[in-house]
Amino acid sequence: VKVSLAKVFFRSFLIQGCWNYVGMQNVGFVFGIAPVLKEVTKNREQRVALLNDQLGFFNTHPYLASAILGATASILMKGKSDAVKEIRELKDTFSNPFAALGDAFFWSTLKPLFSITATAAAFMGSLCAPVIFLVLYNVFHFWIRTGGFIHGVQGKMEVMSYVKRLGIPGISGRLKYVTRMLLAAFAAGAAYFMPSLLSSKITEGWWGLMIVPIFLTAFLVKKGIGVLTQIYIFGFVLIILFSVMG
Amino acid sequence: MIFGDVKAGLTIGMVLELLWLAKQPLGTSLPPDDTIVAVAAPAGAILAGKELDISGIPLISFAVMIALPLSAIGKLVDAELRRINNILLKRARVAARAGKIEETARQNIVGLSSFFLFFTLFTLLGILSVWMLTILLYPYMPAGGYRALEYIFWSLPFFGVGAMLGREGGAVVFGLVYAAAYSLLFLVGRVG
Repeated sequence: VKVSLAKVFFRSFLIQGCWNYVGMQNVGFVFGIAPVLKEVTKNREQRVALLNDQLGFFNTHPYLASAILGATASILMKGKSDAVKEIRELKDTFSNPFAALGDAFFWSTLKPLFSITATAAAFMGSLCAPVIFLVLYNVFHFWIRTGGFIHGVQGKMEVMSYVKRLGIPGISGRLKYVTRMLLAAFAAGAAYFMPSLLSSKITEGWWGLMIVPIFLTAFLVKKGIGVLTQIYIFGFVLIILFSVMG
Repeated sequence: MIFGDVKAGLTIGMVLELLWLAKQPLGTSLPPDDTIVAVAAPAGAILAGKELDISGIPLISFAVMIALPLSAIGKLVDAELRRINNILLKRARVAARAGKIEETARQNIVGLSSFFLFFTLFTLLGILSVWMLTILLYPYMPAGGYRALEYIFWSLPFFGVGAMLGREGGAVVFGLVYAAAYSLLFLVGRVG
């Protein structure tokens, strides 16, 4: 059983392998749970019923999917007759909230926070910047993924209390505040060092005004003008200006 | 590292990381494929630099400007591959109806392999196109253009910061911290 559970855990890393527009992570979910399915299903009918049901729509945050896989494995191992129904309820209960929590915590909070941290390290000349990002980000990733799976195997209620204990919404809110402040400090630092980066005659005092184009970009993004469009217009104008001025 | 210029790779990586700070794969949305740009731009710049016997920020900036549209193409390729995965789902359903667990699960590996194969090919094509276009076009830039490229390159992080601010909001806090941090640096610089 332990070997099968370990297989399920490691397979959870590949849950997005066959992401499709119809069932999203459904094929990945079957791939993940397959070792336990093989072990617990006794006859063909049961196997067909469970397999078919797992191929229904499923989508959640990939890191928190391990918790749902763990809980599914736990239901299957109990060998209940209504396992299909119970697994369906489990997925319906957790997939959407976990997707929202995971997106807000990992994509919108941790990734920008550690990106800025690592970029600041790179800006100061550290060749270890990519390693800094990978270590910082993955400590949280592996911790929550592993914790989710372990608690999932202990049962549905355990998953719920584990995720509640993590207090993700509160942490996300506070960390977003920190990210915003780090971003501002980094932008100020980058603007201050522009004269040395560009060997520019324009003194540091003037580069502080870089906040104006930052706000302009923010305004244009809000108005629906993409960043790439802005960059190419800016680049084109700048090349013409510099060429004319020689 | 492979092309022997870690610093160029790190510089481009740093700038691109900030440029796409606001782009995240939230829900089922697909962000631009920054990986292809992060690989194709430094590789193309280093290879073209060896060919043209030049290096430096203007060359890197030029390669990045050529590579940036690849992110949008990468997103389209990603979406197309996900559409193709619908076929794999159909195969998985046939196998599931026959009660074949292994066969059903295998479709995930097939999907993963096709992603790996297509993106490896796409990345190689990206490197090739950045390399070739840089060799062909870079020497014909107008004289002042090289200086402009330096400004463009070091301005890219500010576009990323602006995009993040536009998406997340919090302009007041941002403005206050920016002003405080800049003033502090300015004062320390003056005293130093």
